[in-house]
Amino acid sequence: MRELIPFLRDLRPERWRLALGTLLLIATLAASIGLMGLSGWFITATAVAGVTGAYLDIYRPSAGIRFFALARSISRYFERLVHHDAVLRTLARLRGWLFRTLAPLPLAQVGRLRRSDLLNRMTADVEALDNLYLRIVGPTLAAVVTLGATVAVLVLVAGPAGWAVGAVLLAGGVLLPLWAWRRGSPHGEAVDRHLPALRGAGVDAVQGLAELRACGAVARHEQRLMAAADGLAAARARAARLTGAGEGAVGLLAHGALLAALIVGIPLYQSGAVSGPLLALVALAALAAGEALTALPGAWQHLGRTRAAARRLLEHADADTGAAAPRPEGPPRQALGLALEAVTFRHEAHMPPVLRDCSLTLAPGETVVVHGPSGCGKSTLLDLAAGLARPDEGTVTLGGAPVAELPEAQRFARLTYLTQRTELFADSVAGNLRIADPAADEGELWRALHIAALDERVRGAPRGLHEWVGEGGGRLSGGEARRLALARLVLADAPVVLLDEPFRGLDDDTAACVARRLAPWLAERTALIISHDPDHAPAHDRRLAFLELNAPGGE
Amino acid sequence: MSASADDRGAGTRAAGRWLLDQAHLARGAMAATVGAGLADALLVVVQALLIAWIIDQAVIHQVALSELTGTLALLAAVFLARAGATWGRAAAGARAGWIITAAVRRRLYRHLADLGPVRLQAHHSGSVASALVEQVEALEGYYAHSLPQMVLAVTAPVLFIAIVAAVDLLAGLLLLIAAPLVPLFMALVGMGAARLSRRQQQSLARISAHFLDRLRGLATLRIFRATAAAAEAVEAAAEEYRRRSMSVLRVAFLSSAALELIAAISIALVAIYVGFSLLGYLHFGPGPELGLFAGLFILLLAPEVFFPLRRLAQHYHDRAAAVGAGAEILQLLDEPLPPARVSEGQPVAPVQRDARTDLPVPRPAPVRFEQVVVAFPGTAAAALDGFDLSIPAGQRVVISGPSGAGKSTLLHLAAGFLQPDGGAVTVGGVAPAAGQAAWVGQRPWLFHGSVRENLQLADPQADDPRLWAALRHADLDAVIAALPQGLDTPLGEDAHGLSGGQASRLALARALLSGAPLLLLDEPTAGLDPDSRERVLAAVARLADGRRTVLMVAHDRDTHDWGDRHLVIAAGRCVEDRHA
Repeated sequence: MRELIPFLRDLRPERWRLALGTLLLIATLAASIGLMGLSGWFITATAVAGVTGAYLDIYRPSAGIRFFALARSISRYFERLVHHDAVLRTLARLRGWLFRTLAPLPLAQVGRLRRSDLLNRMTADVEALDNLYLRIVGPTLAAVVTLGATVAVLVLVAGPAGWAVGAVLLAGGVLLPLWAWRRGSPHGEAVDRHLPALRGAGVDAVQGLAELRACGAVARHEQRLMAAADGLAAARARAARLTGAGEGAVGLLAHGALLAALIVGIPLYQSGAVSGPLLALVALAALAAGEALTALPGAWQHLGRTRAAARRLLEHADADTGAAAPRPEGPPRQALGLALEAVTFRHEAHMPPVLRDCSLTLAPGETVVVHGPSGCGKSTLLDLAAGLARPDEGTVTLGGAPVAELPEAQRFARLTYLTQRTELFADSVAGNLRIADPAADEGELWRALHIAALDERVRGAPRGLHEWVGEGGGRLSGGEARRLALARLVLADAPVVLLDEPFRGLDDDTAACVARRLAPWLAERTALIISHDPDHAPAHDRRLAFLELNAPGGE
Repeated sequence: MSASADDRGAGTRAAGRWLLDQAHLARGAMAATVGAGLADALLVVVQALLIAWIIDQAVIHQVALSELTGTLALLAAVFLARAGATWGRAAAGARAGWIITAAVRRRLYRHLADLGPVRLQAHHSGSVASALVEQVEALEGYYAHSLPQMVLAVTAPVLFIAIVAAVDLLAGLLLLIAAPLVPLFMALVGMGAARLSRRQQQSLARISAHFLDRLRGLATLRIFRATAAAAEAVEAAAEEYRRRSMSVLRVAFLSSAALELIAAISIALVAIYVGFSLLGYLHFGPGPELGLFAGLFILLLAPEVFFPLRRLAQHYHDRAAAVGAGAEILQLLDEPLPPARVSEGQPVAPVQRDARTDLPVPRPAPVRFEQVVVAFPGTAAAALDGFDLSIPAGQRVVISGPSGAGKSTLLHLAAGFLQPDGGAVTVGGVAPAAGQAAWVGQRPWLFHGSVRENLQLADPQADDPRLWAALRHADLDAVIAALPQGLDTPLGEDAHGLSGGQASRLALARALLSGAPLLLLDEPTAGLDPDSRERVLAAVARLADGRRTVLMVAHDRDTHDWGDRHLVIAAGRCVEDRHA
């Protein structure tokens, strides 16, 4: 349970709201029990009075019944409202927490996160934790208080009959959630395991349909897809049967309490220790008290999954590279040089080196293009220069200082990097640009768009700078997205610039136009550019073949 | 009402009907689910009867506990039976959901496979995959919970009210006053719950999407030193959605609060009415004859009238989710199939194998296009209009031309992904069939699975020596051998460590393993650097080797000197036919 402690601590700011919600939940449950108990008492008392002709105050009990009826509906309404509010607030806080936790991870790890299914998994994990309070902590707390109070009242009015009800409810109330938790954990894990397999088979079916049809493998893939689906469905069905068993057991528990009340209560009544109406009250209140437990087995069944989610999230909560530090002001304006000295780099220890004893020096203000075939490790060169990858041997320096020793915030104030992948956000054009410079005014945005030859396109869009670019920039063509990323880079305004295939996806005319406009901007900066086609790269002082950078003896 | 809202309404209704129809796929399990619910309702009546009787006997008639043991045992048996019914209902519901989702998924998969890759291009690939996985999953709750509960929410209250009315007409009438309100409140609750769940889902989905979007771009945010600001934006977005959804919830919760209130007030009124009758204060109706037994019985049944409705409200979001998912699935299933389905027999019968490499040595097939007409719906001009082309067996043909000229359409026709609207396409003298053409697309798809599984897609029987021979021919053996787990290295989206050119060569190795006499390549060298391009083209040449006819669509100028023949297509016509 230790893994849940940080998340329970996270609920602290909402403690008053959650306490109010739980209190309202207790009030709702108590009103339900009161309604049934008092009604049973009232009917029995009137029946007894009808037979004996004794006087009975009917007005206070019937007012009580009406009160409980109203109170139950009203407190239920506010309970739902308060709880949902608190959960939505926690949701916001948990997301912020996860973001701040992941932000400082080493970037290589961040890249791995993006490629895998892990991010989807984490968002789902956060949602699983949202339920921790609403489904588990709150209802359990409310059940404990309500049942405790109910049993106390029953003991007070009916002595041993109350104890009997209490014993059944207590034993079941403790055992049932624990049983559901123990039994439920493997099913949750099985669902977590089968879902990615099904998703993979589904994506394969759609994206690989041409291959499947050509290979005559449509029927074989159907088997794979359905086997994955069956694995998931079987796990779900097992979980559903367990939920059903839990529900049945809760019913049995409430009924057991009723039975206990009757068995102990009837002799008490007949010996005169308890009145007839009280006997009915105890019996019906015991029956209604089961409602407090209804949701518990189902919720506890998922506790295993919630814990697994918490464990997975906490795994990422240790590293700190200072990346989330606030943006330092005033990036250094002076021109800086960039140098790789005798750098050797391997992706994995057992693999042949991508770079072997590679040296490259850029004088302040110089623009260099490195060209070479794809897949040969050109991008690695830029990753090393940006300090995103650490060389196995050799050093990388920026303005004379080792890149590895510069804190990230300072490093990226000195250099900026257009990565191979165009990464845009589901935001407006302006929103995407202002990631590089939150303080930029519209004039500056337009100047950056002009350099990237995207100003006319944005001006032509119905909402201009506020045009939505879609998820991952999906509403833009590949070339437009690349140019928007370029404009963003221009806005970042760092003295050293790393560009990985800056004109990918641009047609020759547009590329030439951007190259022309970029030239004066690049002239003021130190730039290392990677391109498979140096003839269509931005203007440069020097060009080098990547393979010549390496010492002989490569792949 | 706007046309689009009408469309959406019609789509929702159609999806609702379709969902109901699918229930027949699991008639037995659905009947068992409802049956268990009805059995539970009947047991509720027996239980109320027994409890009321025991209390009445003990309190009014002073019967000793020892004489009641039989009844108490019976009551305990009823309790056990109810627990069993509850379990049985959950089990049968899960079974029904399982059967129906499996059948729907199988049908959707087959439909998509028959539509073929070309027709699927009209849809966003992500949403088609999500229909096959997530949307089908979303149907489960409808059949497991929501649909059976809809039946029970009508039948069980009617049963309870009828029984109460039989015991005491006035109490039955009192509950019946709530009855006309029940459909009304069901609609109210339904609408409220539907709106609630839709808004909730939407806002949750939006927060998740925003969050995921910023997490995916974390590297970029880091480079631009914007993580602190982004973390605040993530929280602010979630906070904004909270405020918006709370204003909706305040209203939406009211409708279910109204149901609760009606239920509570009805129970209270029944209790007070029964009490007053027992005291003899009421001198009309059946009240005066009512005893404690009947009174308690009525009191115990009164809350049960409303319980099925409450449960229905709880499961309403299952239905809302299923209707949304059903609409998306139906949209795909309604897409008409091409006239003739490509039969998926075994790949062309006994394949000769090279004695040394064990790789298939197919006999190359001639390809003929005769007066082929292809029209794409929604476009005025036919993509191909009376197109003729004859390719002798074993020829290597490069096809180029401006985009949209119909180059890929030719490949799709030869692969059988597309049927001509007029004329005929034949491969080896017959209509294109599975196993006749190997396909290497522009961005070859690598399946979730190992290198081995990706290769065995074309030849399930292939052993390791044969796989390595294919990899060697595709110039990929060194790359795979260097991978940490060799042939067992997992691939998948964002192929582990394979560059674009290497992925193309893996697809070529796959083609080598198939005995297909025709090789179709759709821009296999697009986006590759000169070195990778050379390697891919050399591998294609080794693959062809007089054993396969090759049709390759290519953009790059460097590729055009490759092969035996070069066709230039423009606006669906062959404008240049040059033999090397």
